[in-house]
Amino acid sequence: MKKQSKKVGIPFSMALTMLFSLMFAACSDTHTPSTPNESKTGDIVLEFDNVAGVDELTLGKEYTNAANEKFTPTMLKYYITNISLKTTTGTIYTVPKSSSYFLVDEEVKASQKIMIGNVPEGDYTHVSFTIGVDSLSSTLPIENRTGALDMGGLGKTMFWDWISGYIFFKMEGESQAITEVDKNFRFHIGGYRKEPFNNVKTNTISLGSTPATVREAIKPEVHIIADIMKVFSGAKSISLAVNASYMFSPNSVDIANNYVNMFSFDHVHNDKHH
Amino acid sequence: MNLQVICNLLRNYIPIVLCSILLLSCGNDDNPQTVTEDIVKFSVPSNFPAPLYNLSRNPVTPDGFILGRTLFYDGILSRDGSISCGTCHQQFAAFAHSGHDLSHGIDDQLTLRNTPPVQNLAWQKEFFWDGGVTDLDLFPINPIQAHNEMDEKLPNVLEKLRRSSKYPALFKKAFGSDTIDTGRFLKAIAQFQLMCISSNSKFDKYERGEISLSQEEMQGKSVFDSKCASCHKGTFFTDLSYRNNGLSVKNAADSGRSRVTLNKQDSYTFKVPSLRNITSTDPYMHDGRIVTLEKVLDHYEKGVVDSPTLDPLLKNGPERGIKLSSEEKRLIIVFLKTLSDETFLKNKLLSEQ
Repeated sequence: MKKQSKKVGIPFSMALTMLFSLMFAACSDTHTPSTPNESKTGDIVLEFDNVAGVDELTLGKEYTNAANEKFTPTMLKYYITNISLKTTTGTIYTVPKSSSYFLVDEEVKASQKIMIGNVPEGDYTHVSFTIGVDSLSSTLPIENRTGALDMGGLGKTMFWDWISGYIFFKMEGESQAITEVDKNFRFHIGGYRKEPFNNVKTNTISLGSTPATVREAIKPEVHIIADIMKVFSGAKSISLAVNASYMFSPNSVDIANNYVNMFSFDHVHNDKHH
Repeated sequence: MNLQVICNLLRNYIPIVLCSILLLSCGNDDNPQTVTEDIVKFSVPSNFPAPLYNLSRNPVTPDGFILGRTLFYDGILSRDGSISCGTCHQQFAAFAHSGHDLSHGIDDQLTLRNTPPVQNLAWQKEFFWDGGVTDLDLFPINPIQAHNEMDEKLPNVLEKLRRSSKYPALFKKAFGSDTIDTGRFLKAIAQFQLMCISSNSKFDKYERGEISLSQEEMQGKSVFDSKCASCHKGTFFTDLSYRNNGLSVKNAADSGRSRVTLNKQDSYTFKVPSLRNITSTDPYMHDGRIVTLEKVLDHYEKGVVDSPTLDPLLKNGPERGIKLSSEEKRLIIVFLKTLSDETFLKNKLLSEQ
């Protein structure tokens, strides 16, 4: 049994409606947040909700990809770094680089909620981030590779020791569609140098008309959906029967070009601090 | 002997003379090594260029060095305690693996390649035969985690060190507190590696103007300079490039530098190795297939195999290899022997204590 709660049986739209209703109920006291005072700061949470299409992602559960192949993911981890936020008026707040390295791990619930403190008050409508570890960060002196970048700690499974590079995105699982004897698929995507390929990707998520209203007293929680189905479809359709192993090879670019678009805005709670 | 020569002599020998005096004076001491280690200091030999390693970030200290040396010789770095760095990096072989074509790790597994020496690494930017590792500090993670070398995980090593009876105190001495983390662990090993400086061969002394080479050695140098030095260049006898030197493909799985660059033009190219202490680092080549220096030269004379990535310097129209007479080969070896540095190979500071 996996620890994640399941939404099996509830259509996504209904779930969304329920979520929104809950949200409005919860946020009824924040409809008219005060005018932001930029000399004050607050916190914001970015929650990465990993899903498989309309279902919440559950490791060990079987899904069907766009190539109509059944597959069972067993691992999903990716780096979210270089986070910045943009307000309705275009003011950008960039999280200090050294505090902006996060490893989202499907098996570690807490890792999916990225807490950012000391954010100037503002109505933020855009969230930008890098999926991966850029070249500057990939070549940091060893004493600065702490937290998610510590290959002897949190980042232990996300480092290629033989080429001194981080693995940005790691998804593994099994599929009977694979024609090899080994039925496991492995997507280990990295590569920060210009040559032979660079898979450092950035994405900007728009919150549309529902800004995250960071205030001293309001700590918005921005829910970002990360849909693993999009790893298989997008710029290039991926079939596990054709190839099940993407690691340090030029075709890893196909996976990275797909997963950069797996992120989308879902909703925001502009809740007061509890 | 002019003044310059005397100055050079003093500059380069004072540390050794000091060491010797200390060793002598402490001959009956219970713990003589601590006295000599007090003067552990990274200094750039006068015939060397500026180091490429950023020492300001990780200055070598006596206690950091001692910790690094202890780690280097400790099997605790491997999964079952059987393999230390020193297992395959033997000091008398300039920290290469004497008599082993391929280095072998845990459970007697063979690796792909011949153990490279550990010497003068402060002057390199890329490590291993394929240059995949690009920071000396990151170097140890590779052998620690390779399944056929130490087959351990870095976090486990750190955990074992934290639980050990001796390491917290050694880390405290080296870094001011007993915190054992990735950065400190790797920096300590780097400090030991940084101190593996070979700079007192006959050739070094000649380069510093302290001695002259014999007539025969000079003849050998002259042949070497015209036939070998385009790749085995400069003070370190390598231009640090990656080249295909015309060995037949013995193991297709090891395509050398192209494993890192994924560029076909780099297929079966390997780093040009330094020739310092070459008489101690046999067998030769990336897979240790050639046992003697004479045979290495025979290879360059008549064994070079053509291939799409064969180095252009080994092609001369339809001819391949380097024209060498037996007398030239003999003289080259006479010269190569001047690159042996007994001071380094026998430096007690670098030995397992």
